[in-house]
Amino acid sequence: MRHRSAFALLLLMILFAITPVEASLPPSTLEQAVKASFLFKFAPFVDWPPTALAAGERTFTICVAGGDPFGSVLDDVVRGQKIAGRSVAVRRLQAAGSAAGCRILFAGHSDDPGYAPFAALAGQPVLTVADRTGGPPGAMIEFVRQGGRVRFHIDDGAARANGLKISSKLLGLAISVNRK
Amino acid sequence: MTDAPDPSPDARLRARAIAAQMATPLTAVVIAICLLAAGLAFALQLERVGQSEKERQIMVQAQTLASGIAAPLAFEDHDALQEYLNALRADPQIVAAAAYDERGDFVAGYALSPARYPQRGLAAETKIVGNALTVAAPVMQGNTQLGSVYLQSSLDSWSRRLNRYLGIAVIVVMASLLIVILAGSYSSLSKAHQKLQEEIAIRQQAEEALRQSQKMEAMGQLTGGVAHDFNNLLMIASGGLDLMERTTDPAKLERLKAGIRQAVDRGAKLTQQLLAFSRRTPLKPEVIDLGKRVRGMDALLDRSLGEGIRVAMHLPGDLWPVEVDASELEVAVLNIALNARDAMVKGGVIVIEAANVEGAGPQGGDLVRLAITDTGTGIAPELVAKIFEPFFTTKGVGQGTGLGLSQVYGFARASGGEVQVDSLPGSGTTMTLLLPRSLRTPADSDAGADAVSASGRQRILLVEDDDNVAATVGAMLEELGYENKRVESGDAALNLLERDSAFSLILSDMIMPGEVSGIDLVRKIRQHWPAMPSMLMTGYSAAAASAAKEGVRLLSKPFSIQDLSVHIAAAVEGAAAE
Repeated sequence: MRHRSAFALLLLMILFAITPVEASLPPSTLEQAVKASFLFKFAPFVDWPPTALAAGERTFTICVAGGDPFGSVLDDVVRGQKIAGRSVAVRRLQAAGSAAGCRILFAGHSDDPGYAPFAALAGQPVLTVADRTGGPPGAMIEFVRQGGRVRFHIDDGAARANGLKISSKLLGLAISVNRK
Repeated sequence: MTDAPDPSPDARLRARAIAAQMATPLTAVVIAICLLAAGLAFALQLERVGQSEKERQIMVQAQTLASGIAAPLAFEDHDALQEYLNALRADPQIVAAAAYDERGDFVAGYALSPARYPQRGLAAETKIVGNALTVAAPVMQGNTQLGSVYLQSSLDSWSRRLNRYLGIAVIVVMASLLIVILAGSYSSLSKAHQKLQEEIAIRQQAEEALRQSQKMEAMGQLTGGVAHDFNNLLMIASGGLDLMERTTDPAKLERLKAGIRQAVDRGAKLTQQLLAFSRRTPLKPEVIDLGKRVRGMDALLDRSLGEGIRVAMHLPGDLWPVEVDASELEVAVLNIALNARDAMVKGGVIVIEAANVEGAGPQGGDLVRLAITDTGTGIAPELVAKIFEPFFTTKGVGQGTGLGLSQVYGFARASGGEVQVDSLPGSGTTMTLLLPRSLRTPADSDAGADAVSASGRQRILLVEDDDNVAATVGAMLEELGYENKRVESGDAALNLLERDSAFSLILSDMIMPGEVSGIDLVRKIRQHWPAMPSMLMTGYSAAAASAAKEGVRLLSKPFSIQDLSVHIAAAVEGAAAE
């Protein structure tokens, strides 16, 4: 039932996106709910190289590193969903945890000075996502707030360098795309 | 020939004609209905194809929309979503469009009143409700459903669709109408044709009747003269017999016998010509020798023209043959001669002459000319054109029917020839028959021959009911050297033949009392004793005609002993030759 209420909130947010009513709602919760939804919805618009999705793999794993801003919202979003025929799992990485098996990695805020969640993933087919403000740098997709709504920048160059192919539909929706 | 045709084939023909008349409109109606049905089926098929085309088109539109809005729907870019949806407004047929998220909740859309979009997203489907075609399609990205779209398109209303087929409908209906009208006119045409055929048949019957009455008219003219003539002949015969009883002088007896013989011969010839003359037959052209035929009419002409009129014939022997109805020719000659007689009140000479005319006919054909000239009062020029009209007569009431010369005209036309009139009032008239030459040779008529006696011992079975005739014929046969056995009827003849069939010839009368007539007897003999020749004697020409049709040998009564001997010899020899 919790995810229901979360979605009711999301719906409300969408319906009243342009109205000033939005301001009166608790911004962080809504924002995190939207981001959690987006995080999951990126998957259909991204092609992983065939090697990345091994035939034996039963789950499609979304990992969260650093501080988790979503809480249970993300779990609610992916529950019962499937990506490329696989059930979706959420894994929260410990500070020194390995990102092996992650397809999408969201890196939250961390006060740890040695925090560099994406450093170990160079060249690996993992879609990296982070907040532009407060998140670690170097993510392929960076969430921003614009006009009271959650939008994103895409570094398509980095994605391609890691063997990921992002759908032009998604690119078209981005605020900016780094194609370098 | 009988005047009343057999009614059963006639009725059958009429029934068939009615069936044929009915068949045409029926067929036309069936064709018209088929055409209408085909037109309807065509329109329905077109409609169905159009509808499925429309469904496909809307489905494609929905899928295009679904593909386009995948990202905006997923990432809640309502501006982009609305833009995609608004693009559909350009199509006036799309009256409602809506997008739903993956939960089935409405996200964006529009609807033109009175159309409405559902508040919840629908499963993929295509549905037609009334004039509305609704399509729901999922929004898929990869294998993930991100939501759904809904499109509603208005279909053409029935009246608009009907309007579209109005052209075809008009053409089809016109074509059907045309077919029915054509069939109707064809039917009435064939009805008219049938009526015409019936009228032609009636007309032919009337013409047949007219020809017969023309002949009877001539017969009537003859009767007076013939009766008078017969009385004279009978006078000679009975007077001669009286005188023979009173004398024993052989020379005188011989003279009287010769006179009686001559009178009887003339009588026989006269009745034969009368019978041939009055025969009721359809026009039956045969190739004849004109000269011989006209010469053969001498007795008839002499008797019918009466006292004071002499007939002079100039008929060359080398006349070309002509193909005409012989009895009609005789009637025509007689009719012309009777008119000539009536024109010569004080008596005179009628000249009958014939000649070949080379290349004078139509298309340069040869003709044979038969001219009959009198020295009578002639015909006034203004009447010349009228004399061939039926019922035109200058004679008093009760004296002429006006059919005589119309028969002449009809005969000439029917024979492919013509008739010409040259007349000078006060000095005479020449009637000329121009008949086309026939290239065929005339059939030989029986030439007179001497009596032929029996060769060897031959038995003849004589079947004759009349005792006097039987006695005479029996005496003739004996005279000719034939043995003969007489029975009185066909039945008796068959009974006798069962027991004793050693006869060279069966000579039978045609009309006899009892079950078996002469013709039946001949048929039975042919069946049971095919080798045995038979011959019929008759004085009745209608019966003779039917027998002749079956190829039965015929001997016309009265016959002379010479005739009898020749015919018997021919029959016996013919049978032996077979």
